[in-house]
Amino acid sequence: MKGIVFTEFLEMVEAKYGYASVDRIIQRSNVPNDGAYTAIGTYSSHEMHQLLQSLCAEKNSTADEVLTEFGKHLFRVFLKNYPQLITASENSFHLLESVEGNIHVDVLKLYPDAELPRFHTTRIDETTLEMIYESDRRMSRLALGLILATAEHFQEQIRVETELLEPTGKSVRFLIRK
Amino acid sequence: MSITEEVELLRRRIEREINARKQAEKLLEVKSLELYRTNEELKHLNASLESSIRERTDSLLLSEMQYRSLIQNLHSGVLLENEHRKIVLTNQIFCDLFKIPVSPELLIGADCSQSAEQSKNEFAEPEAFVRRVSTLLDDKKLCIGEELKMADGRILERDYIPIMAGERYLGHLWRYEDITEQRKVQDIIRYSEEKYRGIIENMELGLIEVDNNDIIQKVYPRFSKLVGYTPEELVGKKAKDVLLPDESFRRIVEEQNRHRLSGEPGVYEVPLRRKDGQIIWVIISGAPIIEPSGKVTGSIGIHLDISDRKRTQEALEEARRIAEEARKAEKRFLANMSHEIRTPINGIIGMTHLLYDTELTGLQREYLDAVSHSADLLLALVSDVLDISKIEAGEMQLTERPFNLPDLLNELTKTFRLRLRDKPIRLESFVDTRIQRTVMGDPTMLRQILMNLIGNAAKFTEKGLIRVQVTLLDQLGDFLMTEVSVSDTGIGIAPQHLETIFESFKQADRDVKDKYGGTGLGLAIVKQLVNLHGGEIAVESTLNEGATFTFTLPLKIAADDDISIVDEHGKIDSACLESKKILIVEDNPLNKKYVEGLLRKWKAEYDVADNGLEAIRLVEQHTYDLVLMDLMMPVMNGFETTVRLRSMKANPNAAIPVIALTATAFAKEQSEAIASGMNDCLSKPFTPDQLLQLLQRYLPAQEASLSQTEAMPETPEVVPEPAEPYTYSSELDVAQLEQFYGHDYAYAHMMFSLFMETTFPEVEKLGEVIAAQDWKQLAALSHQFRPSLVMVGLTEVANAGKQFELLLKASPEAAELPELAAALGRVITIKLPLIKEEFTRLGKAVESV
Repeated sequence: MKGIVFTEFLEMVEAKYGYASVDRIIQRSNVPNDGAYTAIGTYSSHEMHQLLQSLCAEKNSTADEVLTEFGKHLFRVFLKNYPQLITASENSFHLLESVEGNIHVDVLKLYPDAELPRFHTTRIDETTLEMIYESDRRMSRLALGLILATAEHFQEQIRVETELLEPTGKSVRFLIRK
Repeated sequence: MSITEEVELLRRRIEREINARKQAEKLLEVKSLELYRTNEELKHLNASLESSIRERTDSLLLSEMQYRSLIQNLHSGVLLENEHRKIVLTNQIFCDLFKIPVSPELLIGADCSQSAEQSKNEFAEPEAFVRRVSTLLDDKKLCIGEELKMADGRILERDYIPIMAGERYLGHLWRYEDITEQRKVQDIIRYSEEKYRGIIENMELGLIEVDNNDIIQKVYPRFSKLVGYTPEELVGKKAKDVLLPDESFRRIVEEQNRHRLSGEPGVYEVPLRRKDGQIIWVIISGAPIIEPSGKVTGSIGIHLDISDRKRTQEALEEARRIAEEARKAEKRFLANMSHEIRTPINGIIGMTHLLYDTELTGLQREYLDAVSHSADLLLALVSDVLDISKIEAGEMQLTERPFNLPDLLNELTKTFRLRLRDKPIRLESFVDTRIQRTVMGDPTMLRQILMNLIGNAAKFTEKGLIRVQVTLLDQLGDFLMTEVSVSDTGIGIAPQHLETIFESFKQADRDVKDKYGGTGLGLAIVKQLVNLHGGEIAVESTLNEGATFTFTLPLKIAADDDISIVDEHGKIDSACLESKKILIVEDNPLNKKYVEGLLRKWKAEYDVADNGLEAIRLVEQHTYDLVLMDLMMPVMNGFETTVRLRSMKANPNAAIPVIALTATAFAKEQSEAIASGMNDCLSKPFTPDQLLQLLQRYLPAQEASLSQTEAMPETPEVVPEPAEPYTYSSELDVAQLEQFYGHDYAYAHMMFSLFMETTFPEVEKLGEVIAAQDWKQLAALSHQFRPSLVMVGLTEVANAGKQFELLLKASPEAAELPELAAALGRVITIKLPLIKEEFTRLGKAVESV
């Protein structure tokens, strides 16, 4: 898992709860290297799960809520760091449809070893987009956060229906309606 | 949170930041290295890309140069235009063809859109040219080999080649070639073809062309006339099916056709069936039709009608056959007659000798001499005629085998020295020392030639020298060219007779015939025999000084394998005797053993009877091919036995040949023998060859027995040679002994042993008979012993006995009788012990093997 996920996760925690929380979570998680992460590094996804669980325990919230929140945070980071990825699209469907074909392609140019989730989009009709998430990381909630942040960015009202296509969450179907 | 705690938190934060930075730095280092490597790789790739581009460019340049040079050096004028009709490339020949006074390089880039119009007057038909060019350019279709007549009489060939890259048109290429000369040559060829076709059509030769499957492709009018079919009736049909009358000729033609396929011509004669059914004969000269590539595409058959010639030829052939048959019949008649005449002449000669034994007046004796002389001459004549007719009928054939030339000459000169005893003549023989080895040739024929020539020399020479000389003229590998000359100091031959001397019945002149007798066939036979042996004979002579006959004789050096089979007894082929059964009727043990030894050697089967009665018993039980019959035997003599045998009508042996073994030649015994029904006589002692010749005459070789010989490989009886060559004592008749036994010393030893056992004690006792002056008994005994004495080389004793015998017969009261008897006794005393010594020596020689 790319280091940016860790640094931004900890950024989010620090922004929301202060560095003392970050420090606690790190210590609690007992991750190697004492939680020193660099955005360009690559770390085990297991460490991410440990950090996530520590945060949930600390703040008494669910992993789904944290991940959705993290997704929204990441969207802001992307918008700030790589605005051209987002501003190239006119609306949310447009952007979501370009994730697999354009954005992920650009990501792989910078981080060739990045293990990205796969998205398959189908425009059901003018106002409905089906987006199927597939990843062994089972972090569809992160994707949901990003979808919601996207709609927010384009100032669109959407409803998202989530359906597990596979019980452990490796494959999830989002039905997005405007 | 206390200060300390806050400081601690900050410290941990900073530590994490530092740690993260270091991780980032490390990663950057790694990435930087990777970047460097990738850069290097890129640089390298770039360099190789540049070099490969350079190579590609070079090769393009080269190929362009090659094409350019190719086009410039083509024997055709070439003009390459691009799609805008601008000149890309042209060559000097193009400029020359159209008389363009600038160099081809200068034309590059020039516009061609008006060129047809500008150059049209160069062409014989300007407007047509312009139209055609315009059509070609519009169609953009390949067009090859168009011919254009020029205003100045030249003929150009033009190709238009559009250049397309897929569907895209990139321009076109014009190729012009001056084919004026080519056309001229073609015209000459066409004219020449027409000329020859005209000649062929007007000749008496019928031509057809067929393909490789014998299918007729083209029929020329003359052939059509020859066979009576129209060309349309023949083309497309199989020639041999339509034209050949039967299967056997189809095979000939098929074989010829196969030869034709391999490109070989051939000439053969066949009959053809015309459409009207008439058969004509033609000579066909077949030649393959060969394409320039070397492939045979068919053949052309030239037919010459030879029907008339064929008819004449057949008539001639028939006439020749009739003549040949007549000639053969004549030869057969001559040969038969000669043979038939011999029998009565033998009778005459025998009777003449009997007549000499009677009381005769001087006149009667004179008449009888004439009769005897004439009979002898007649017999010689008949023998010679038989020889000549055999030679002319081609029945006399050369049989080459290894023999020793010096030995043959020695043997001959010995015989003649004996004959020349009474004349003051020296007989010399010389053989070139280089021909001492065993040679291959026909010794029988050579012997006959030399017998005749030396015999002539002896006849026509009264005193002086007869010289036989063999010289080596040349040697080529194993091949020897020798020259044999026989010269004498005799009466010689007159120049006018030298030319005809070798012709039949051409003796020098009548006087010669009257004085010397002879048949006049001897030299004719000699010439024929010399020619048969591959040589030539010539004669030189000065009248009254002598004559020299010289002939060439080609011989070969015998291979080592051949030399070992040189055997005096092998001279005549004894193959005819294998599996023949012969009855020997003989009481004299010495003769019996001698004949037995020879028959065993020749692989003949035989039975032996001691007297006539025993013979009759055997004849009743077995079937024989021939009987050898002694005449004087106890119990039942040969005459009576033969009469009895001939009268046994139901017996298969009744008609078989019977050969008398007589003690005296041409005397009472012989004619009585013939009279009693015997077929021939052989006087004792005889040599193996003499017996073998007689047996061959009466026992013709059969096909069956020959094939049997082939089936069972011959295992020749090995005659062991003594380590040291054995030589008989010179006191004995060595020549005679060698003739009898050859190198078979074991055989000689056996005969000597028999002599020691049977005859020796009897001969010893002759002394007593001489002492008792019992002349009649002495004559009888010497007659009886004579053959046995000769068999052991005591010819001198035998001759002394014979002289006594003759004298006693002529005048029983002659005063010289005791003297001759004493001489006989002396010879016996001197010679007889030699036999004992010889026997012992022979024994040792045989044991040492």
